[in-house]
Amino acid sequence: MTIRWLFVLVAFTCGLARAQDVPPPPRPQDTGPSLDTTLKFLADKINDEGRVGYTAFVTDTSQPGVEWSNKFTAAVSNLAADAKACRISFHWRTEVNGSSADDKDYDIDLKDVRTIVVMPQEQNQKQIDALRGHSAWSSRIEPNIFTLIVRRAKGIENVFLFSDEGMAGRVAKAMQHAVELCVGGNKEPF
Amino acid sequence: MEERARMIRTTTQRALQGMMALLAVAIAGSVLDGQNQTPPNVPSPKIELRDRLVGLWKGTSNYEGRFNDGAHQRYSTKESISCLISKGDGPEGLSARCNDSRQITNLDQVSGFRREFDGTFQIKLNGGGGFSGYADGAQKREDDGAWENLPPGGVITGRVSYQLNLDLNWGNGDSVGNVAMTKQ
Repeated sequence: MTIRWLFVLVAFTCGLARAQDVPPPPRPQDTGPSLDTTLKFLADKINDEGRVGYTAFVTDTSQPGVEWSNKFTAAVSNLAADAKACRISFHWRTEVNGSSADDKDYDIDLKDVRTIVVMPQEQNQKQIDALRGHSAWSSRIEPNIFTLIVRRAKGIENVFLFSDEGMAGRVAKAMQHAVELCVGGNKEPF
Repeated sequence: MEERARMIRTTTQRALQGMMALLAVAIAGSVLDGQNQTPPNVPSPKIELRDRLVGLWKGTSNYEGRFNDGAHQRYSTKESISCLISKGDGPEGLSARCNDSRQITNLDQVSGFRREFDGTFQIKLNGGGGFSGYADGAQKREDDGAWENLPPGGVITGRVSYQLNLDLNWGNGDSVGNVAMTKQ
């Protein structure tokens, strides 16, 4: 390899490192719902969902014939959206079989959001159980509910549960719009 | 010139290796730092209990009493019990192969004998860490004599907490109760 090629390689490497320092694009001009309107829609719809209860009927492919059930409740409360800071905060409480599993405040900085997806809770539950070493477990969830997953860097995810897939999709679209208003991008109205 | 080129080459290689290492740490970190408020499923209580029960358990019991015959002489018994519990029929089934070996001493005559029981039990799990089962075959012998089959009716019951508390009834009137067993 000649020195010239080495310099090209070093320059390319430095270029890659510098690419991460590029500031986000400027906020686009409003053509759809404003950030305030979008965040109010988000807060209203998520707060409306309130407390969701469901039962997971679990089977284990490594132990044919085994099935057991777990009763879950998940409740979002005090969801507040700060348009100035581009942040959503909420309290999340879950119970499994009557015992508290989580009871904490969470924040989502919309500028850090990478992806927003909606999937059946059965699919989300399978992924969660697999992450904890139970890839052979599958859950049938009753009633059928849908999970909106907000993904950030380092595998950090926040979820919101909806009993209606259509509403989950609308909220996902609104959240996507809010993220775009916070960091710039597509302005298609939800 | 050649020496300088080699230095640049080495430095570049090290920089790339460092970047790869940082990338690997970042990827590992992304998994370790992951969070999602979805609560995971909890294991079936019965399956969890079955998994805790499987294994070799041992315990001892020492006690004194009087024989039931006419002289009602005093005796002391040193008893060693072992149960090998393994997964049995069905998703919640267990079987236990138990051995109960007793050294019985007549305290009034300073003589004694050995009595041994051996049997297999089919176990079903109950709620709250308890289980029970029936013998599907049990036998008894004394002083290394021939084994004799016991009548049906042997019963095993137990409860697991930090140890296993076991009751055994061999179906012929011989029994032992509340023996603290530890897993080997």
